[in-house]
Amino acid sequence: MNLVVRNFVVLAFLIPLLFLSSGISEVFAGFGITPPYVRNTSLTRNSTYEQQILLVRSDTDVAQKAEITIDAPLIQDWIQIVEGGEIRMPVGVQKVPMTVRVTVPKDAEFKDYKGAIRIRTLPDDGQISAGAVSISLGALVDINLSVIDRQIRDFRVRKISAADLNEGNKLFWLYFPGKINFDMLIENTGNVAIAPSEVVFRIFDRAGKVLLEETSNIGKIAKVPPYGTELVSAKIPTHLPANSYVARYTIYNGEDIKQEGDISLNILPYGSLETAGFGFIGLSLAHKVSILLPLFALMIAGLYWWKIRRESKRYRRQ
Amino acid sequence: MSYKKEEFPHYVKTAGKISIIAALTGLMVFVFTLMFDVGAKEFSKVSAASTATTTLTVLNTPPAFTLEPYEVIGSATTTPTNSGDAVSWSAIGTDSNGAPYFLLVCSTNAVPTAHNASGPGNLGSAPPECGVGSVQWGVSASTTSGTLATVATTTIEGGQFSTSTPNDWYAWVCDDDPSNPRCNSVPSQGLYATSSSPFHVNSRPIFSAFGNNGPKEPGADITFQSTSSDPDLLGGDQNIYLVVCSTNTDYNPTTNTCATNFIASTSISLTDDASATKTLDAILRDDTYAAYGYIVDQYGHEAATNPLNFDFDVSNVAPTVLGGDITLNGGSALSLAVMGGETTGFTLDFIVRDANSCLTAASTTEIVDYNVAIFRSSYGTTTCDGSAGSYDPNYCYPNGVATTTWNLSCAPTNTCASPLQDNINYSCTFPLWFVADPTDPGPNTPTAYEVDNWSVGISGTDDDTLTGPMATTSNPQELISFSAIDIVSSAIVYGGIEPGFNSPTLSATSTALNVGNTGLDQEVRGESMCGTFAVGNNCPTSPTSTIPEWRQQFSTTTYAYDADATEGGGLLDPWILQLSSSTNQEVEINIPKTVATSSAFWQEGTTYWGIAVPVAITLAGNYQGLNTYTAVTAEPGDW
Repeated sequence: MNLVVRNFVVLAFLIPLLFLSSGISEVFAGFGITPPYVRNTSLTRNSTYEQQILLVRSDTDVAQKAEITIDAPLIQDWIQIVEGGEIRMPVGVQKVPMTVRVTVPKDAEFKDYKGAIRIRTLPDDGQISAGAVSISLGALVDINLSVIDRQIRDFRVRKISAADLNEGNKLFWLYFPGKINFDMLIENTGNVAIAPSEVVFRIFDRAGKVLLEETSNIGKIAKVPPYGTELVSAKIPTHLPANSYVARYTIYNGEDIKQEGDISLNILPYGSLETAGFGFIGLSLAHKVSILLPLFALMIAGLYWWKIRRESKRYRRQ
Repeated sequence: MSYKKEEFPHYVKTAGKISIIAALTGLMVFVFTLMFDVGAKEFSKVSAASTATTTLTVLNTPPAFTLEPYEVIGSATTTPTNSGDAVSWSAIGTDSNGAPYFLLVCSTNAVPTAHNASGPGNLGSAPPECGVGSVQWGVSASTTSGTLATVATTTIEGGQFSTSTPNDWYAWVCDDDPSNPRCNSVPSQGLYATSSSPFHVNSRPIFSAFGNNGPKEPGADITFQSTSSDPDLLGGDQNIYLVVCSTNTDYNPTTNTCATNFIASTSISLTDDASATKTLDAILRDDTYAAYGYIVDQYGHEAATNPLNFDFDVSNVAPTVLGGDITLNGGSALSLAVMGGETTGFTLDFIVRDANSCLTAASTTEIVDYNVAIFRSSYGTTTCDGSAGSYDPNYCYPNGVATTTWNLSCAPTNTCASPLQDNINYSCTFPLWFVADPTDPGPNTPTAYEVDNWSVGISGTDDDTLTGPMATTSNPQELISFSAIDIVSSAIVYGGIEPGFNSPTLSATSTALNVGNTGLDQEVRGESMCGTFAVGNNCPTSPTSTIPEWRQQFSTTTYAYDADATEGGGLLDPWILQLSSSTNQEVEINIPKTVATSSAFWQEGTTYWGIAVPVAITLAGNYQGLNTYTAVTAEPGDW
């Protein structure tokens, strides 16, 4: 048998076995992402926006890595994966975060930008099943960005709460009202720092029928940076005595009402809670004046006395 | 003595004799008295004061008012004396000879009768009496001259006291001189406005029935009613008041209220059927409460039938929940993280309040249950009402289902310590299935989903199985898209193929499962195959040992393998795709969103594969490669 014939016989015998893989299993590891997009339609030049995407898998018995490639030709340089181009998924870990940071350059054109981020899972040790066309899973992240040349001042209220509070108290002639700490989880959906412009409380009796007091926040509310979500608090004075009430709150963004609703309000007898109440800022105008006026009078008197004394010294010197 | 009978024919013979006898008798008495010094003791003062031989008897003089009589507590039309109370008079009388005196008060000015004491040593022992036909209101005890005398009489309704007309009075001061007791001649009726005559007696109001318009809810007004009136006409109709107390033990007739158990009293002017309104406490148990009614007139005179008892009921009200008191997932979006299963650990916090307090009268829990429905907003609480029948893992999670179906796990975070407390705060965790509809504004989210969000409705149930209205949260949250893919088999099985041959059809399959909550498409790319392939170690460019990736063809249907196609897709049938290692190619398998949780019903899509083994391949053995399936969120129309 010559060499050609021998090779033919060998191949003819062996090739049929080429794809008779042995490592095929019926259950495979799933993969998913949430959310499957990076989206921001209010980016401005020089702004930075971060969004977290969860990479999720179903089989945590093997270590994997997520290989990330960015496919966004116009904005390739803007996008950075904070965790790097490969994200480890150790044994036992079912989900890992992937943070996409978008840094808009100062000369970016005002327009919409699209692209994609592809994530592919691979065995961390690089090995795949021998003799098989293995399948790796991945997911596509859609990129939808818009760079605009105007400021958007908007926010969304994600959560509200009003903790129990002490009723107001009187110190000599000064009445310090109770302080409602109205907490709001604010998501800045615009592109400039923002806070609710005003929070109004209309406090009713427990049955919600009789309006007892209308009050609004004192002082400014902390601002939430662009694209951020933070808990901020409005300090609202109340003169109501200890009792259980229903408060109808309204959260304003300028002229717009961002949210309104009902919340229970429990005012406890003074001293029930070890929480700070209002100080000087909570006093009524009349009470503020009653403190400031004597102080100013004393200051003026002191200045006058100082001036007289100074002139007297000068006169003596002459 | 002689006279002429002729001139005085009717002259009596004894005329003039009696005068003489009388004169002689008087002379004899005088001489006898003088001789035996009769009355020397009695008339010693006179004797001492005078040496006159004439005598004079100085008679007793009556006492006189030096302070006009007055009613100690003025009794007049506007200040009548309540029946049963005493009317008192006071005055100061002075007797010129220092004898004690009596203050006598009578109903008319009929001259009273002064009585004499049995002797000078018993002065002050014989009080005077009112004149005939006069009611004696009272006479004081013997009072030292010049000091205050007081007399009182206890009034009653009827008898000698008139409640319909004023009761006049006249006052005298009298002594009881043993020989010549006397009262002052002109009675006095007082000089001091309302404390002068007459006095007025105020009748008790009449109180025959007591009730209320209950049952009422906490915080509502309850009105206590009475059948009551006042019989007095003097001075016009009198106002009467209903005082309601929770016990019959601490009513104070002086203050006409209850010290610690006061409930309500009449606050307006009523002359009949007095009523009183009470605004019930905002937090009050549903129970029966004791109520005792007291009727009192405007002068503080209580009805004889006080108190009457008629309990009132506070009705049961359903628990309530406020939208602002419901917090879904701590204010964060709902993000799924388990493919083909339930993602656990979502949170729900809410407060259930009950105006009947959280504590029953038996110190058991008033708020016993809650009704929870977490839903996609389009469906609302009408569709997703908390009942088991409304359950749908795509958009409605009611706690009416068994926990084996949906395990909402809640626990109170506070204790109910007082009947003045009305709330129970709950903190819950719950899972969501991977099929739960997304509502976030993803680029491929269908509008019908995107305009929605996920909300939660909650109602409370009390111990009387009364359930309140379902309130929805003020802060609904978005449910985030979750694109997830799974593969039935981890490899593509081509079978045995000789060099120079190819799969007759695209018959090898790979089945992708949609295990997320979006519609799904699939991108594919892959590497060349060889016996040494590993991740990061691609196959060498060898015609005899490497099967180029483009030799693999795939499609959504099992077409015949296109053997004419060349590298790069030349001559390739348009419905077939050629595998590329550099370009991801989307396979429009269009797997709809999975809507059932059971794996038997998961949506799936099949990709059909075929391969050609180049004739140049001479190396027999196991060839391996790696194809990548990338999950792509399907277009909105393909969900």
